[in-house]
Formats: sequence, structure tokens, C-alpha cells
Amino acid sequence: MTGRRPPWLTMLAADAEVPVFVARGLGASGAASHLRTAPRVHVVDSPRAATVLVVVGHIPDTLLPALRQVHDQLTTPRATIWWTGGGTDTFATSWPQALVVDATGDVDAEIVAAHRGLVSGSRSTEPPLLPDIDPVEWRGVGPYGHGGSGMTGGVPFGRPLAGRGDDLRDGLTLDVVPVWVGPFFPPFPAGLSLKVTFAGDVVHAVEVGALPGAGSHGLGGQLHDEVDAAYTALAREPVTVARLELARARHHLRWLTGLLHLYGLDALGRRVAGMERSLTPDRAPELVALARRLDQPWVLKRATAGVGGIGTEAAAQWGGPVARAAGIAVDARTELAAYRALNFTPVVHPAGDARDRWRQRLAEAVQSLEIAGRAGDATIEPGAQTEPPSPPPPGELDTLLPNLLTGAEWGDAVASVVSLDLEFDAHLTRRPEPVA
Amino acid sequence: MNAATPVWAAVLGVGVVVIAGSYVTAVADRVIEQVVARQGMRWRSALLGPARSAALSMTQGRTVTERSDAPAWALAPALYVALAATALAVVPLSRTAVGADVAAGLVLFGAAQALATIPVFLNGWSSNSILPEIGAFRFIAQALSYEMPNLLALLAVSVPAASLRITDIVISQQHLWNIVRIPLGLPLFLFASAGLAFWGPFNFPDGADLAGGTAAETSGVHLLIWKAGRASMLVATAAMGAAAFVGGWLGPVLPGWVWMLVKTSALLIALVSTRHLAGRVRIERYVVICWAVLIPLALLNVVIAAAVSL
Repeated sequence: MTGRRPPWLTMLAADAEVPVFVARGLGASGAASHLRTAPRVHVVDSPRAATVLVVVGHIPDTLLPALRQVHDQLTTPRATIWWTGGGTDTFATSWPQALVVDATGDVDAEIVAAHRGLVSGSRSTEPPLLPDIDPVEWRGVGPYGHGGSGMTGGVPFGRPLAGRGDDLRDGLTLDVVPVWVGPFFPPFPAGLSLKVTFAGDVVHAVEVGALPGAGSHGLGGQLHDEVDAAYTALAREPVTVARLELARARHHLRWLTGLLHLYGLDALGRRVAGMERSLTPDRAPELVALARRLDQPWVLKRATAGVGGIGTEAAAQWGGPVARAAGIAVDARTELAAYRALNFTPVVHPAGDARDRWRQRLAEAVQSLEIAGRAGDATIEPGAQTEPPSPPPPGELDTLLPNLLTGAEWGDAVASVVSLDLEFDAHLTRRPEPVA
Repeated sequence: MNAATPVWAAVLGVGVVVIAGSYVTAVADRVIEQVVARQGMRWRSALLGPARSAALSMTQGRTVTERSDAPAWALAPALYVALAATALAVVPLSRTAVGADVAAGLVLFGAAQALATIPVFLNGWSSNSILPEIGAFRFIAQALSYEMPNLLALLAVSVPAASLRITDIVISQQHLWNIVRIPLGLPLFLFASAGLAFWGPFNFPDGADLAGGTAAETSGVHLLIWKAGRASMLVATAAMGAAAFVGGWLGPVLPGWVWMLVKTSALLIALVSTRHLAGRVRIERYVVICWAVLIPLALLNVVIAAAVSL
């Protein structure tokens, strides 16, 4: 095929921005943020549009089957790059084609090199990892049939089929169809998969899939990341308030980048990601201006107001920014002498919806920068309970998420999940590994 | 068809406009994105990027999904481009340069926009995959809501011209542009047409919450053609806005086609930039705004047009 291609086409294609699908494992929020700002890389939402699959962080064994499916969904020619901090010894047996880049490597250059190799033909495309056969024997009637007469609902022969469902809101009864979304659905936190029963684009029911277990066996290791490291270091050594607060602000900005992308505001998202990567305390005014801009009616205000509302009682259990966005001034930092000396008082917002959650996090980022700027060398002693940027959810996600999402339009449902910031990987590693 | 334009010239001209218009749209999109992202202008990337990405698409394979409706899936992007080309063909570049100066040009334009429902639905439905299918159904709700205010906004300009021919509509603005005569028209038309082109804040069928929606399973050349179709539909919208509301080729000193290009580009940039300046709105609110606000306003607009034409 390469032989028949005119050379000018190959030259042009080789210089294209590389469409990359990012499969996020655990401990990879910093890496994902890096790829969003890399100039030669274009992060895409669907593996179908990508030439390079970049797997970042640690992929537990439970996620490997789904990752193989994602790999085979990439268009051809394709290549896989694992960007990972250690844990590479098992690659030879589990994923032999992997091009591994460790924490010290230049991942941008590797992505571009793989892409150029594919386009020029010097690197051959990766063959599918899974056999190209029907997941279950096809017993449907006709080329598009789903199994003959009288069948509704369920997943006959391994394929979801629309069935009957009760009406949830407007008197129009629609068929419902169950679909698995995740665990590599870009807007969702790493490893989260939901079995969503759709009625049109309204969420009729939600079931939370198995979450990756703590310390699970798998491929690749977490990449070192200053934002996570600042808080994990606190378990064993004193950490300065300035470092903790800068990390908090960066955490919130990373989260905001994802929210902006969800609403199609990629350019603003790139700006925020750029700010996150070079954040200093004196940039607080830029964040204030950004918050004002995002709260214009046509930017994010109307799109997020009233979405994913959590009542005061439930919000109190969530703690963290979710609680403070519902008007509850709980914050572990108020108990710490170092913060009291800095006259710390928590910021709050009243409404408890997605809009107040992003306003809350931006306001907290501003406050964090302001504290980091004047904290001097104040430190927190090891083992002290400080407020994490985003605390784990107050219970099992399998009851929390269905309560929040059922009845919501899908766009609002995704925004609700994103607005909870389940990204801090500690959440997803709390539960025991599911029995396969 | 205008007697002065041979068929081959009309077809060639519309083809050039589709390709050049898509390219200009892609470049404008990148430039505006870089301005909003504030990470320094990379002009080379903005100017050459679309060509490079297009070349890459041409080297990529196509996607195969289980039990897809392959012919419909392959046709959908081409059909969308064809409808955009049809819409562009009736819009005059100057007094004489027009692809198809048909007597009911305005109706043909509206029909091409409305028929876009079919390729968009097919694109989402025929891959036999759920997220694209949800995108397809979203577009049905969206297009049903927006066809009416869109066509009403267009019909209003035919009242002062007493004609459905677009060249007549431009000529009717010789003394007063429609943007002054019926001021509600242009905003209504742009709003509704951006909805029909599902661009920016109205991108429900292909949004990030559906991982690309109707195009989520599409790759390679098909994806390229799909993107070209979407860009051409935007160009058609801008061109029609320029012809129907701000005087088309009319203007002092410069030749008519230059004026038409300037006006179309200005509207195109305004439309493209909404993607980077406004977040995707909630689909329910959007549909409600259409039925409860835009349709009454569009009817009022027709009445105003009739009153000023008396």
C-alpha cells in the first residue's frame, strides 16, 4: 500500500499532529495533563480516530481485557506506547509489542517517532490482539436481525437489545438499552465503568462495574507526580504548607481541564492545562479572571447550573469540595495550627450543583495560591490529618452514583460524574479486588 | 441555472468552494483556538495543519464494526458534503457568478439544510454502535426543533424581495440591507443554522460526552469527509447569511465577489469562534428555547418583514 502512495502525501502525513488516544491507568493524571498541552500531539476522544495508543500509569490485570479491546479499535496503521514508571518486567509476556517509555524518557518524541515510522512504512502496524470473531455465535435473523421474533430486552447472544422500561419523566415511554461505558471512557476517572441503561439519552438505570483493587497486580507503574507526591510524602516527612497548597491548586486545575473538554471548550482547557504546568502563587489574579469568564451565562454557567445537585445532608457526608460547594464549611485544615496561624477560613458556595463545584474548586485554587504565597516556610508535621484536594467518596459508589445519575440526561450525567472529581486514585483502590 | 454559467463551470466552482471553504474553516478554527489558548501563535501549524491531518486521514484504514450497515455508513459523509454543496450552489458569489440561480433558491437551501438530518442520522445509526446511535437520535430532536425558526428566518427576507430567488433577494437590498430592515433575521438565522450544523455550543450529536458521537466509530477518509461536510455546511450558512441579510455582493469600490467573500468570512469566523467561546448548552433547555422563544420570534420577524414591505 505504501508503495502506491505519492511521496508528498507521506511527507504531509508524517508532519501531522499525532492523533493519540490516552488510556489512563492509575496514577496518571499528571501524564494526561502533559499530553493535552504537547504541541505535536492531539488527544482524541475515540480510539477510532487515533494512530497511537498511549497507555499511562498502572493498568491492573482486571482492566487488561478492556485495554486489548481499545487497542483493536484503533484505526490502522497503529502503535502502542506505554508511558509508565517501572513495573515493566512483565511486558515481554503480557504485551510484547509495547514500546515502553519510562518516567525519564521523552514521551512526545517517542509518539512522534512512532507515528512517522507508521506513516513512512518503516514501522509496521500492530496486528489485532483479539481474534476477529463474533463475541458470541451470531444467531440473529437476517444481516441486521437480533434473534427473531418476540425478543425484547436483555443481552441475548452477547449483544444488548432494547427492551421495555418505565417512563421516568415526561410521559413518553421509550425502549431502554443497557450499555457498558468505560473503563477507558475519556471523561471518566481511570478505571470507572458504568453499566448504563439508556432510555433515549436519559439514564434509566446505572450499575457500577468492578473497580480496580488496591495494590493489584498488573502492567506498568504509577508515574511520579508532584501533585500526588506532596500529599503522600506527608505520611513520612514534614511538608511545607506552600508545597501542599500549590499541589492542591494544580490538582483542581487539572480537574477543570477535563470539565472544559467535556463542554467542548478545548482551547480554554489547553490554557488551563498550560497554567497548571507552570503554576506559581503570583498567578492567582489570572485564575480569578478565568473564574469570572467561565461564569458568563453562555460559557459554563447555564450549562452546569442545576446539574448533579447533591443535598446538604448527602454533601456533608462527601466532605471536601463537594460539601463546601453545598455551603458546608468543613475543612480539616481549620484544625491545623499552621493554617490557623495563616488565618485560614474555608471558602464555600451555596447551591450544591455542578456549577458551584467548579466555582468552589477554582476559588479554592485561588485561595491555595494566596496561602502558598504568604505561608513562608510553615510546615505540617508528618502524619497530620490535612485536607486532601479531593477526599474519597463517603461510601460505595454503587449506591452513590445511581442515586445521582438516574433520570439525568446523559450529558448532565457525565458532567455530574466529572464534577465529583473521583480522580484521586486513592478512591478507586479502596475496594478489594473483585473475584473474577 | 444562470444562462451565463455552463454546467461544468458551476460544478467545478461549487467543488472548489467546498474544498477551499472547508480548508479556510479548519484554519480559522485553529487560529481562534490558539488565540483563546494563549500559548503563542504557531502559524505553520494553523496554516498547514489541516492539510497534514487530511493527508494522514488518507493513509489510514477504515473501521469495521460488527453487523454495520456498510453502504449507508460509507454514503453518509458523502451525502452530507453533497447537501452542503447543494446549499452552496444557490448562493451567488456576485451578480453573475452563481452555481444554480434557481427561482426557488431559498427553498432549495432550506431543503438541503433540513435533509441533513438523514446523513447525520445514518452516520450515527449505521455503525451499529450505541454512543453514535444516541448522537443520531439527539440530532433528530435538535433538527426538528431548529428547522422551523431557520426556515421562517429565511422566508422573511423573501417578503421585501417578492421572490425566492437569492439573486433577487440580494438586489432587493440595494438601498437597505435586511440586517437593518428586519434586524431580528440575522441573529435568528445564525442561531438556528448553527444548531442545524451542530457546531460549538450546539454539538449534541458529536459531543465529547459521547466520545465523538455519530463519528465515534468513524476513521480515515470517512472521518475526513465527515469533517469536510460539517465545515462546508458552516460555510454555506455563512454565505447564505451574507447574501440574505448583509447585502451579498453589494458594496462600494471593490468588486462584488470581494465583498461577498469579506462578508462570508466575517460570519464564518463568528460562527467558528462560538466553539471556543461558549460551552455546550443543555439539550433540553436548547429545545425549549427553540419552541418557546425562537419560533414566536421568527413569526414576529415575518410580520415585521411584511409590515416594512408594504
